[in-house]
Amino acid sequence: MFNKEEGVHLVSPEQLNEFLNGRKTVFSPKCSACVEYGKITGEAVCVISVTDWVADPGKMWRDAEQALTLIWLLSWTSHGMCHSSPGRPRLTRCRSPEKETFTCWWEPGSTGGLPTSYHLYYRKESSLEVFECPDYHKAGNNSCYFDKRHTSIWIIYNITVVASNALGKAYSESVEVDVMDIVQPHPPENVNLTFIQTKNSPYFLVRWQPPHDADTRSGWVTIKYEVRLKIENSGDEEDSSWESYSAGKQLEFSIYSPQPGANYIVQVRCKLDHGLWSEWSPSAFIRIPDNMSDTQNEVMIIAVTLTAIIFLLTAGVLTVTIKPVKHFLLPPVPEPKISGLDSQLLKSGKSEEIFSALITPGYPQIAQSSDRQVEYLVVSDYDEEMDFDDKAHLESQKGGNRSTDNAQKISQNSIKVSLNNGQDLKTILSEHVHARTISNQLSATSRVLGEPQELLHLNCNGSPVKAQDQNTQMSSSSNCEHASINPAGFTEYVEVDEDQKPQVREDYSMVSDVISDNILVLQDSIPVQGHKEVKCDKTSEAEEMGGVFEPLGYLETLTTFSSES
Amino acid sequence: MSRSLKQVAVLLVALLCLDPHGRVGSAPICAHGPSGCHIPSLADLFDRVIQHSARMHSLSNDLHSEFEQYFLPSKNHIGKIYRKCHTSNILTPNGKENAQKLAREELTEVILKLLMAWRDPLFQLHQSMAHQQDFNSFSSNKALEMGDMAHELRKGVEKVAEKMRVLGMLGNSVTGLSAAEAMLPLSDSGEAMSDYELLYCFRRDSNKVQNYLKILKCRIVPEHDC
Repeated sequence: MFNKEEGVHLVSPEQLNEFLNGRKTVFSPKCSACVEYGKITGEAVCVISVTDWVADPGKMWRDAEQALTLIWLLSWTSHGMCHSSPGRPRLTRCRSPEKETFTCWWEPGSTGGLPTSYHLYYRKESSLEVFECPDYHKAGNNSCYFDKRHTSIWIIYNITVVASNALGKAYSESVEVDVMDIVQPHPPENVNLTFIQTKNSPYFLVRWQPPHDADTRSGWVTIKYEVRLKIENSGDEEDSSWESYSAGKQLEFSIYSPQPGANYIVQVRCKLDHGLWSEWSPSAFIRIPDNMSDTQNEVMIIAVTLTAIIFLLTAGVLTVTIKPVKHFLLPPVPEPKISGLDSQLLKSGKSEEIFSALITPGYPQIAQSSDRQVEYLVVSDYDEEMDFDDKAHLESQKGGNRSTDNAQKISQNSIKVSLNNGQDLKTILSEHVHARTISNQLSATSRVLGEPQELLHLNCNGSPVKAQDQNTQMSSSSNCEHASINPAGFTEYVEVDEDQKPQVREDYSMVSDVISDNILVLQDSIPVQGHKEVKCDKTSEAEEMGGVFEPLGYLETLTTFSSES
Repeated sequence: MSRSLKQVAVLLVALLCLDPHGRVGSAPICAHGPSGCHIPSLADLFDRVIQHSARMHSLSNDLHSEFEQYFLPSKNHIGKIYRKCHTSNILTPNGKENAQKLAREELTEVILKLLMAWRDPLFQLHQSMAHQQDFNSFSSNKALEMGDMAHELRKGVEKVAEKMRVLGMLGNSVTGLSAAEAMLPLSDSGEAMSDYELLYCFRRDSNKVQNYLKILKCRIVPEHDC
């Protein structure tokens, strides 16, 4: 279409398109707009705009970065301006499949428009001699294959690729390679799958061959394998993910309990010693038949149903006979039981019943002998210094309720205050009238304590004791309590006997302290100063008492009672 | 009654002391033949030694890549190891055929030479790693373990060689290695090698040892795994 003469040609756009059809465009620095380069003829076309050319042709040469409507056809020979030296090639990778040979591949750079040839040169470690690649073709284009003769393990190769064309050369970056580091075998071969149907444990067997070039017979390399498989889902769902299994050095692998009816995809790969893993082998497929599941399902259903029936029956039987079974299997642990103390009563909250239950006949054994002397306290209502260092405790005996009350002499509703001189005495008086509960508690404790050795019997004859006086509310009681201070050698207790019917409401406002379960400290309005006063009616009997005790409103536990006297 | 008991006890003690057979002595464990214990065969010994060398190489691999990862991020390969390893003077076969061409005795001797040559340098390596704070103690422990392994491996290979000699598989040309000992890890220029260079060289040499042992085993006891 065009004259192949050098020079400037004016062409129409259609002709330009026709010319450009199939031609490659290369930018050439000599002609800065664009250059069409015909591969076969070596033509180059420089296209500039008409207007520029018309206006100033010279300018076009100086400044040729305009768009194109005009074609300049220039023909260059092979040494023309728009060719260039090649771009730098690049070594992409080197691999050794069996640790005896290796191959290196490179990627060419730009060719610069000219036929380019590539050469690979290498040097061995610490030697200056340069060698060229022994085989450019065995491994394909742009590769170099080192055969066994030319391969040395444990030596560093310094490899360079040179691209050269008519205009120049380009050197790739040098790469240092030790064959030990680039070992990557070919994938295993001939992977085949077989389904083995055994009764109890069906499985399928994966078998393969090692890559043909790896030499394990001489022990040069040791191959390790890895198997992976996944279930192929034909539906819309995604495939399940791969499961990998290490298979060691063996050439087969069993997959147990495959899913019936599933399609499996299996692949195997290998590696040599500490090298790189090979590519995965081509996939192998297997379909698991699913007729084996039917019979199994039936059996399973029957078994499950039977089990359920048996379970329900057992549960029913057990619920009926739970108690004896439970007793048989888990005998009840004997609980600590205080004879007479019933837990049911405790729950009911009626304390008097509880403690009445605790009182067994014969306890406390007070004054077994009837000829036991009972000392009497002289009770006077003057502020007599009492010896209150003595310990004493009050005990009272409950009247009436105790059928085996040995202290016959002691009338009902008596408070016995027994005093042992020389003992430390803490205040012991109880606000007996205070509550039946107190008295009951106290009477309950009387069981626990031992027999008082001495009894002082204080008898207030029908007159309320001071405690009663203290508490106006209680003063209505016409009963006189007898307080006995018991110098027994046990932990003291205060026992207050009370008439059957409490004359007063239970008033706890006087309680200043609770020392134990059954002892309350009642705060007297008069601070305790060691005075013990019992204000009774000034009867003779009352005065006989030592009155060594504190206001009856004040009750306190006694510490251990020493028996010294 | 107690007196008679005492007498009996005294008599027993006297018997034990006087009777030479009653004394406790040390006897070799396997003195009573194969029923006593399992004497490893040559194949077993080889297996053990090869496993040991595999572990040693894997340890050196780990250390080397750790070092490379943390201390040489620039991956400047050029001029990396153009210094010689101190074991370069030992002539080692550089491929499978060369290794197979060597006689058993020579191959065994090469292995032993290599292992011997690393005795001191590994100790030095551990010392220098332990003193630097850059390495954590885990790395310097690995270096110590590596040195121990090399030592044990050498002992193991010596035992294998001994067994082979006993079985008549080896000629007597495997000499003592005192001549090859005490090789200082100096590079060409005479400077001491750096830790990285030592690690690189040991990684390479441990790979060599592993490969040579495997070749030797499959040549001598090719029954299984070959």
